[in-house]
Amino acid sequence: MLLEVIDLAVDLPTPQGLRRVVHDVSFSLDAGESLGIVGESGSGKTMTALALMALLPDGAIVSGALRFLGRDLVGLPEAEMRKLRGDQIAMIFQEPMTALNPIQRVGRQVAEPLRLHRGMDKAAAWAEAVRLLERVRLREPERAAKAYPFALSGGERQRAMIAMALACAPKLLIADEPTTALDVTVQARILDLIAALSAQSAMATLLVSHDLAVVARNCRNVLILYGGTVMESGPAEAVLSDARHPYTKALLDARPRANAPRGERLRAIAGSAAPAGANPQGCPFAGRCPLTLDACRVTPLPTVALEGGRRVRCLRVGADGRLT
Amino acid sequence: MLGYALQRFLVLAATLAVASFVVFGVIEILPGNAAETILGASATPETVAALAHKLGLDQPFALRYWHWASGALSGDLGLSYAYGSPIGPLIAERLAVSAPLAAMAMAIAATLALLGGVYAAGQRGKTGDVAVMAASQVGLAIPNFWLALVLVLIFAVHWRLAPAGGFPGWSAGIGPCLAALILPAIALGVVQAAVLARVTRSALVETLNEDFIRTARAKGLSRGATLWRHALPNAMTPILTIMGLRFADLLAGAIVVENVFVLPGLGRLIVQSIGNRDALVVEDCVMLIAVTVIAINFLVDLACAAIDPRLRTRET
Amino acid sequence: MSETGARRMRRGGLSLPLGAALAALLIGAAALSLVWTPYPPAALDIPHKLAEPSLAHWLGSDSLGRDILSEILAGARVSILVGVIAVAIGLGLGVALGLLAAARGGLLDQAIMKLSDFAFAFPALLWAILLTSTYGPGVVNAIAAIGVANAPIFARLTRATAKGALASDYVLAARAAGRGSLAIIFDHVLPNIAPALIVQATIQFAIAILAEAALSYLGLGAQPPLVSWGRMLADAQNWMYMAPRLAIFPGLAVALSVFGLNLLGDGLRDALDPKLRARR
Ligand SMILES: Nc1ncnc2c1ncn2[C@@H]1O[C@H](COP(=O)(O)OP(=O)(O)O)[C@@H](O)[C@H]1O
Ligand code: SF4
Ligand SMILES: [Mg+2]
Repeated sequence: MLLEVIDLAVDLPTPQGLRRVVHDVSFSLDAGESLGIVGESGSGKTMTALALMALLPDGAIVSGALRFLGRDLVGLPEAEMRKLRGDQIAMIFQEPMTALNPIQRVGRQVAEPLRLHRGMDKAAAWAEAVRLLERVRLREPERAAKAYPFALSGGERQRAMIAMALACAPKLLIADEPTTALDVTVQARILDLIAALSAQSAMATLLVSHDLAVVARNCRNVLILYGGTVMESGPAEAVLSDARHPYTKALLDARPRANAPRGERLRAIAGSAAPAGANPQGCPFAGRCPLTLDACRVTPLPTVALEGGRRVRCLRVGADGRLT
Repeated sequence: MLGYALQRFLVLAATLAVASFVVFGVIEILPGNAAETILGASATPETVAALAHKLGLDQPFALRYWHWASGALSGDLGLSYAYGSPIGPLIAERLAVSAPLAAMAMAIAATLALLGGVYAAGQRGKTGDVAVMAASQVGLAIPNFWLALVLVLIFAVHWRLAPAGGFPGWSAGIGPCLAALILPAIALGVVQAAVLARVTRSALVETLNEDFIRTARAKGLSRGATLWRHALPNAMTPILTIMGLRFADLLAGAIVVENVFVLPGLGRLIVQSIGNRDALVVEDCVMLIAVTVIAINFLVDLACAAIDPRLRTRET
Repeated sequence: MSETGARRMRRGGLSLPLGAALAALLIGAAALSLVWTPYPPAALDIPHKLAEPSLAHWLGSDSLGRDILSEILAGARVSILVGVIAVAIGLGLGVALGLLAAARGGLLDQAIMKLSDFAFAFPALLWAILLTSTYGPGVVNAIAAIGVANAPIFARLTRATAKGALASDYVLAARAAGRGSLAIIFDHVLPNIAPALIVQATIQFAIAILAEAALSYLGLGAQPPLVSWGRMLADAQNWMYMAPRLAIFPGLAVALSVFGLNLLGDGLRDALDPKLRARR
């Protein structure tokens, strides 16, 4: 087991005090495997990812266990965590336009993890950076290495970010909505690239997205997040073809039709997304869910384990996976 | 980069032209007046007219401006009415005090500001940040010439560690000269440091919220390395720009502080010349200060362009 | 980022009341001096010169026997006078130019902004030196110089805010309804920029007090018999060895006034304009 997340909870400081934005999140990931985390904006996807990197905002409190290669990352000293970041665990972000340092050459930024974790000298790291840029299929990698970020397109920048993440051949790649900010035509190519690269090197990927179609195509397993809590999880194919949770069903219904542009935001579910941490004792979907019972608001969510490694968390889903 | 430098240089030249016009205009817009000021209120109209003629003040404004500006460009700054000698060498002699003083003050200001601002930004929201910001608020409020007086009281009068004023001349060696300049430089620098520390902090805090900072941390860089390698260089353009603007204020402050320490610099020359009703000297000195400020800001523009590639390629 | 207690305190809490209290102290001192001072501020009393602080002279007396406390109270008048008029000049000039630039746009806008860029190279002190070297020293020239030096910052501020306001829907609607330019400016634009202008005016007031003190110290500002803190400091410098305390009280008066006005400006910024706060 590469990564095992058990009952992860994240509390963020706000002017009104601590707010729990992620709770009861559990999942596991094997080497080379891919897991998609799907949820509406604000459902806690980014905070879950940042918890794995120990890069949450100042003052955040993490509880639960994050076992990476058998070692619990929660409470790991910062100096130890630093050795993992960029080396064993790498992350790429949503906004390629702003995620690169605007005043450093791309090559230097791609080379930086190599200098840091591999102790390479400048020239060797630069040469390796050019090779990496070639591997992410940037045209004219030498020119791209010498360029400053503003001279590259969004897609090119995201490729450079991927090259940077791959520099030290990490065991786990976390991609937080890597294509949301890109043109539709570029999105598929970037996702294919990530899939191909992880297949080449048995790198596990955690793909965060608000787009079910993206996850269906690229991930073996899927985690449906709502209000900071996992609603349903299991093999992507099974979950998406035969959803059991009312929220997953709503998501699938709200999906743009086959011929509609991909990546459209999931706004079509009636009502607005609950802020993470709403209904702390009960189900965060309560109220917006068409099946809501009074009990949903106050009863701790049960976890129903179904065949095929599927899990559903809903008061009204019985042990057989059917609605009661 | 070269194109950018050229373009900035053209702006520099235009600014200088405007500056010279303003400096000359403010003083010379009323032709008779300079002669009147020299001779005092009791002078008869005839003597005023005679002096005005002698000084060339009865010529048209444009002509007088042309004489002054073209003379200045060829290194001829005119004659001092009070000293009866060419102004150029007079100013050069005073610059030997004022230039090192300004440089030392700016160095002190920049060092204190960067240390304080970087520390406060690193501690943002915590006690250290509040302490640095409170200290800078105090620094902002203290008049530099009063700080100069207080420094004299403490270091010269009370502890007798430094001279209370005067300047031994560079022939006396570097040590005594630096000793004579250190208190004035501190008085000038500390106040500027207060402003610049706030600028440094806010530029850094803004930069630290940028996405690429998170990218740097995700690579495994420590907080400190991220601050120095990624945040500070990006924050440097606004910091340098404000430093350039504050330089004008520093030079103006030097005029006052030089008088506190009785330093034979440009500032004293200006104040003495006002007392002597030697308008041309004042004019030339103020113009020199303006030229310095404009030149420094030109250099700042170039430095910013060297740091930020986006500035080099942007049109216009 | 986390909002810790220390930060919250710095943000809103103390600046406004402390700044307001110090500003009130400054105005109170000036007002009091109009009706009462322990001694007439300019009254010489040579036999009691350089007196130590005592019940008779709370802060002591100066080299000519004048009562320091009385001088400090009276000095507040000059500071306020210079500050108020210079800020008014700067506001008047700056707002007019800024509105003109924002409303007309184009070349005129660019010219005004370039000019104000350029004027940043001339602090108040330099203007004052230019003016006094031809027209002679005095508080009027000092005020004029400081006022002119204040204009660019108000012009920039006005232009930046007015541009946004002029492009807004309600101004377009007012224009469509046939309202004249001046009416639109008074109804819609000025109320929008007022908070930012008030904050900046407070800070420029502080800067004006500093500039006046420096000018008067050099002998270019207030002339006798006007009492000014800067002049008191110039006088004190002659007695540094015999009566060092003479250099303390007038300086403290300047520093406390400026400190208070700066705090007041910061506090007002937080209180009046949440947008400005977010940008800090
Ligand atoms: N710095 C922060 N402080 C407090 N709350 C935050 C902060 N950043 C995000 N949140 C809240 O945490 C929740 C989860 O955010 P996030 O993980 O970014 O959602 P997602 O990535 O799924 O869109 C949201 O409700 C958001 O409002
Ligand atoms: S627990 Fe209740 S509210 Fe929540 S999803 Fe199930 S039925 Fe809907
Ligand atoms: Mg997110």
